[in-house]
Formats: sequence, C-alpha cells, structure tokens
Amino acid sequence: MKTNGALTILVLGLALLAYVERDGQPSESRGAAHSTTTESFLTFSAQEVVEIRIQNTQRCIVLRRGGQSRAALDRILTILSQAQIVRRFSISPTEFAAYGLAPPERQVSLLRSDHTLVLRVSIGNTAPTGNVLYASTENATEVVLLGTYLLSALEMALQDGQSEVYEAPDCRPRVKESKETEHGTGQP
Amino acid sequence: MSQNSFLSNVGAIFVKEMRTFVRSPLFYVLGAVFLGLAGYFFYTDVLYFDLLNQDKIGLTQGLWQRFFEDLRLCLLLIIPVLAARLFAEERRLGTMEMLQTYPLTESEIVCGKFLSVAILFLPILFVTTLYPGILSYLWPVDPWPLVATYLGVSLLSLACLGCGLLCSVLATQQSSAALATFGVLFLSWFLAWNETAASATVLVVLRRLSLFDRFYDFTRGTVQSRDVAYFLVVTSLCIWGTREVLRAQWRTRRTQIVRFALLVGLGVGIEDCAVRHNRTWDLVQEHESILAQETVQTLTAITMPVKLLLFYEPGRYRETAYLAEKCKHTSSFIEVHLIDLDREPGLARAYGVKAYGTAVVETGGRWETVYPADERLLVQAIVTVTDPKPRVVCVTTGHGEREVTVEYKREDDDPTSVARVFERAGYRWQETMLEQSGADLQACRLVFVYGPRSDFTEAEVRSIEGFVHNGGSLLVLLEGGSFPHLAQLLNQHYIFPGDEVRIAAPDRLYLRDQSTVPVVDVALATRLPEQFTGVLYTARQVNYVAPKHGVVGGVFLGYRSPSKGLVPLGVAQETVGDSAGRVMVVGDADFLGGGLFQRESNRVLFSRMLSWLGARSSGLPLHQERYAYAPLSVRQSRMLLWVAWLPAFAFLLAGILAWWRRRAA
Repeated sequence: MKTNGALTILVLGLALLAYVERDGQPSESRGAAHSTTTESFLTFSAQEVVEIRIQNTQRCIVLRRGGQSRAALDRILTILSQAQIVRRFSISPTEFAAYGLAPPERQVSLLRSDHTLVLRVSIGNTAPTGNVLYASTENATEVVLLGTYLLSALEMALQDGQSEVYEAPDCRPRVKESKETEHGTGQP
Repeated sequence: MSQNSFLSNVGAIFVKEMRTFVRSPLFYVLGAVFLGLAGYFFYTDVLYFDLLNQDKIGLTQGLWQRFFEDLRLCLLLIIPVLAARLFAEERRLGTMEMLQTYPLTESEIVCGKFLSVAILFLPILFVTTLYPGILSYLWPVDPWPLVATYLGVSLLSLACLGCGLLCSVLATQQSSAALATFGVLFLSWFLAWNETAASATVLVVLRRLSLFDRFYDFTRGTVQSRDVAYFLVVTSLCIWGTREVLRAQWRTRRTQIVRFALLVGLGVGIEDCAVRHNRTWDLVQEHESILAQETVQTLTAITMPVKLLLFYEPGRYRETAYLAEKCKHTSSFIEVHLIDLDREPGLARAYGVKAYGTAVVETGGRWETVYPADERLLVQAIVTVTDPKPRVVCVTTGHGEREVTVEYKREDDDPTSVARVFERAGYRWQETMLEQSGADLQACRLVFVYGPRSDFTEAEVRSIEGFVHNGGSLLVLLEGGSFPHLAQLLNQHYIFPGDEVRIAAPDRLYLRDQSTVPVVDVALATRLPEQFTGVLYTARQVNYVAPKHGVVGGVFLGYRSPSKGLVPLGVAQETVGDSAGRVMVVGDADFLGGGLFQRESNRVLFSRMLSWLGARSSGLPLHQERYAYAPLSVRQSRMLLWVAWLPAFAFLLAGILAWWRRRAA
C-alpha cells in the first residue's frame, strides 16, 4: 500500500497544479462542436398528419389531407421524411437568432386531425456557403444543416397543389382573401 | 532487490526473447514485409514528387511528410503481429506459469520483453534511413527535419509496441492479441480524424489522445515537447499496465481498480503538464520551412496588431491551422482565429465570406479577404491592410466618363453596384477633376478611369504618371474611341491598347453570350506567376506574358475565339523591385453597368481586379527558384527502385538462411 499512497499524493499534487494553472490558460476556442451524420432529419408517421402549415412572417399556407391539396401534402410529407442532416451542432438558446431560427424565417407544422402538433420544424437562413440551410425542431437545443434543395422541393410541391393562404402568425383566415387559392402564392 | 540483479534479470529475459525472435521465421517475414512496403512507398512518393512538385515545395513538405504518413500504415500493420507473441505465445505454449515461477519480478519480465521487441524493431525502422541517404546523392537533403521525423516515428513505434505488449498479456491467443492491438491503434489513430463527429468537449479530449494529431508535427520537422511526453506517457502506461495485469492474481479487485485509476490519473497529469509547458524545436531550415523567406521577412516587419480569421471547413482545417500557427509564431502581432464557417454565419456575412478555406486579414477596421488561404495571398493581404496609405479611389471626370453606380438591392447580401464593391473592398471613392486637383491625386490609392469618351490632356497624363510612379495604382476601362495621350501613358508601362488590349472587340464576352463564356485554362493558370493566379483565380481565361523590361504582368483577361484564338481584353503590369504602382487596363467598360454587373462573375472579376490593384507586394521576389531538384533520369529512377527493394530482399534472405540453419540443426 506504500506505493498506492505515494501515487495518490503524486496524482493529487498534479491535479492541484493543473487546477491552479487552469486559470491562466485561455479557454479552448469554439472548434467544430458538431457532428456529421447521414441520418434522417425527421421521423414521424405520415398517416397521422392531416394538415400542414407552412408559415413565414407574412403568411401562412395550409394544406389539408381532405382538400384539393392532398397530393401536395403527401409530397411535402415525403420531402420532409427524406430530408437528410448534413451536419448538426449544439448551441445555446440565445444563439438561435444568429441562424434565422428565432424567430424562424419559416416554420412547418404537421398537425393531427384534432389539431394537436405532430412536430414543428423551423427553417432558418441559408448558410454562408449557400448550399445548406439551418433548421431545428421544436424545443431542440441543436441546429441542423439541411440541403437547400429542401426549400425548392417545398416550393415546387406548393406550386403543384391547391393551398389555402391565411394571415401569419396564427394562421387566421384573411378577411378579404380567405378564398385565395392561386398556384404558387405565399411561398414559404 | 538490488539494481544489479534487476538489470541482470531484465538482461536474461531480453536475451531469451531476442533468441526466440531471431530464430523465428515470423520475425524475418514481418521485417521483409515492413521494408518492402516502406520501399514501395518511398519509391512511389519520390516519383510523385519528381513529377509534380519540382521547385514548388521542399523535400520535407513534398516528400518526407508524405512518406512518413505512409510509413505509419506499415507500423500499424506490422507492430501488432510482432508484439502479439510476447505473452500470448507463452500462454499458448504453457510456459507462462513456468516463467512466473522463476525468481523474477513482473517488472523484470515486462521490461525484458519490451526491450527485446523494441531493440529488434527500431533497427529495422532505421534501415529506412538508407532512402534519404541515397537520395542525398541526387538532391540536397536537409537531415535535420529527418531527425525530428525519425524521433517521432521511434516514439510512435514504442507507443504501439507498448500497446501490443498490453494486449498480448490480456489475450490468450496471438491472433486475438494482434487483432486487439490493431483495433486499438487504428481507433486511436483516427480518433480525431473527423472533427465533425464529436462535441466540442469530447473533441478536445480526442485531439489530445489522437496519435495522428501528435505525430503530425514530427513529419513537418518540428519537435514539440508535449508530443514527446505524450508518446512516453502512453508507452509507460502500457508497460505499467502490463505489469499490473501480471500482478493481478496477487491483488484484490479493489486494489487493482485503485491502482489503475491512479496510474491513468498520473499519466493524464503528466501529459497535461507537458501541454501547458510545451516547447517547440523547429528543425526545418529556413529555406525548407513552410514559410518562405520573404514571408518571414514580411511578417516580422509588422508593427501593428493584425487579426487573421480563418474560415475552415469541418474536417479540413489542419493545413490552414498549421499555416496560421506558423504565421503566429513568426510575428507576435498576428492574432489567429479559427472559425467554423457554418457556425458563424453572421461573421461570415460581415466579411462577405462564402467559401470554406477563406481567410480574412484585418487591422484597424480594414480587411482583405483571401481565397484560397495560401501563404502568398495571406502575406499579400497582410502587406495591403498594414499599408498606412488611405484607401481612396479617385474616379476621373471631365472626359465623358461613366458614372459610378451607387444603388443596390438592400435585401441582397452581395454588392450590386460599383460603389458597393468599393465599399466592400474597404475603399472610399470620390470624383476627381484632374486638371483642378493637381497634387491632390497623391491622396488616392487608386485612380479609376471609367470608360472615357475623350482623351486626357498632357498635363493630366503627367499627373497620373507621377501618381503611378509614386506607388499609386491605375485602373483604366476603355470603350471605343481614340486616346493618344492616354495610350502614350500606357505605353510607358508596356501596355498597348489595340494590340494587347482589344478595345471594344465586337465579340467581347462578359457573359453576353453563353456560348462564348470561357473557362479557366488550368494548364495555363498553373504556369502563371503566382501573383496572377491568385488575383484572378477562376475569373476568366488567363494568359501570361513573361517579364520584360523589368515589368511583371501580361494579359490576364481574354477569351478564346474559335476563329481568332485568344482575344486579349485585359492587361496588368507591375514594375519589379520598384515603388511604382500597378496598372491595369481592360478593353471594356460595359461589364460594370446595367444587367451585366448583376451577374456575379462580373462582380467577382471587378472585386479581384480591385484587390490586385490595392495590394502591395512585399518588395521581394516571390518564390523564385526556391528549390532546385533536378528531374530524375531513368537510370536514377531504376537505382532508387533497387534501393527501395534491396533491404526487403536482404531481410527475406536472412530469414531463409535462419530457417535453413534451424532446420539443419
């Protein structure tokens, strides 16, 4: 046990030395605190989704399974379920604004028939390189990078389908334009 | 236990192990495979260097770094098999118990075995010094970086052997011991390979543990005391761990855990202490250094704080970080920040950074964006931003010049007017009547003649000439018309409008016609002097005219017409070794206006033109004949091939002889 005692003292001494010196050391710069994966961004049951709301600061587009927008709804669900994460990293809640996620540039909400939320996705700015964009799910503490093709795919799906356009932020029907069903209006 | 008996017992084990190794054909096979692979890598790396890297980078960077990074793979392959037999073989033969009944301590057994395998392997490793030895007859080889590299490889080998020893004592079979060693080494090698695969906290730990990160500096000819300590700590911990495993049967589990934790804590403490008190020995000679002599001179001349922001791509930052660290070491005024581009979109937007690998050099609110962030462009940017002269563009008026556009779309991040491009490049601009301004021109950095319709007077030309002679830069965009006085001025700089610069060519490009859009001729671009390839990188077709009359420059802009060949449109000239400024003339002014300027490629072209005109060279010749490696002849290549394979053949022959003698006995 003599050796153990000597070792303990040595280790404790080193730990103390390290602790004392730590104050004088610069903190590690923010390196690449992230992970790259090939995982899917969203996992959900497409069957239970009956309504999709795509919302930006000006307008809110609603697609319903029962209406004429059914095909567009299905296509968007497919697009969302196939979205792959290019990269992910954790950030503090105050930093979401820097990525256009607080408030979000666009928000996609998937709803059940009783109007409860299946999930909500916030889509933020395009990254500086231009080929990926920032996104996050509700209450998430991390930002993910998705290919910008997601946006164009959403736009194409909306142009193909009949959507209803409402006022943002709470998707109330527009007073005068509640029956507006033009193709391609209110892109997210 | 006396020291003498310890040494003699270790010696006894050592001799026993050496005999076993030397008599085993496996040892010769492994040695031959190692040297064969090393020879193969050496030969192919030399040929690669000979073909592609002549005169561009030195041997340390161009050959040895690549060779030793290949050699590490040989280590990963050979060492697990070599070390696996140390204890696993004893277990298989049932001699382990017998060994433990001898009057030997566990420390003596472990030390003896480790020493035997280390002393057998290191000489094989050092056989590879034959390669640089032979190469030194053909090319000038600086031995000092190799000293650092061989120190690193030796330390790495010891750490790997230590790991193999530990796995061997834990395993019951050689194959499982070898596989376990290979797995551990392979994992630790690639631990921090992908920086994107872990959180920040974990990554800090992984980088500290990664063999690759610790070995990297050795291959560059740099010895860091922290890396030496790391390898020694890993080796010692493995040896100590092996001893503890052997002793395990005599101890309680609790004692084992306590000892294990204390040992790891001790190792971590020592390593941490070494990191904090790190010392660096750069054994690379000045001319072989990653930083060119002119770079070092420029950096050491800096007297104001310069911030270097390197926007890296996750997983591909190592080279950039290394360059930044070198710059930082050279000048205490340089502050380096490594920035993950994806994580800092606001910062990237503020500096207009859009590509991974871009660097921003900033001082006192002025900045230059550099892409790609290579040494030469970085230095040029540093020289530019530290130039105390105000960055003012004087736009000439009074000759029917075009107006500088100022409006731009606010929602667009990209500058969409000429004024905005000036602003983005850190310039103020002002209109200047040359006849009235006189000496005021000296307050300008750049004089911009933007599509004049009438010629300049002799007095005006004299004023511009004086300005350029005193280090100012001149940008002339010409449309159709006759400008004898202006042409006279340009002729003094060996620029001949109508000849080198085709003014208002009917089939000019500028993206008017998609079918005539040129692409950068890479083959031509690689032959360009480095000044031009970086400035107008991927901008347009580039051609180069060799320096003449003490002027460096040539046609930088043009397009290749099927009928007329290369139609020149732009010429840039700089007087070598003189304080005179840079002159650039383009036979088109339309591309800065209307819809043509909304095209990004035209804006990029203009930004790069401004960047080149605003830059100042360090006054020293850049990378001229830094290295002189004569191309290898066929005979020399064959000789190197023999040198590469000879040690492996010799080792194999020795193995066959040993086997034959053993069989005969």
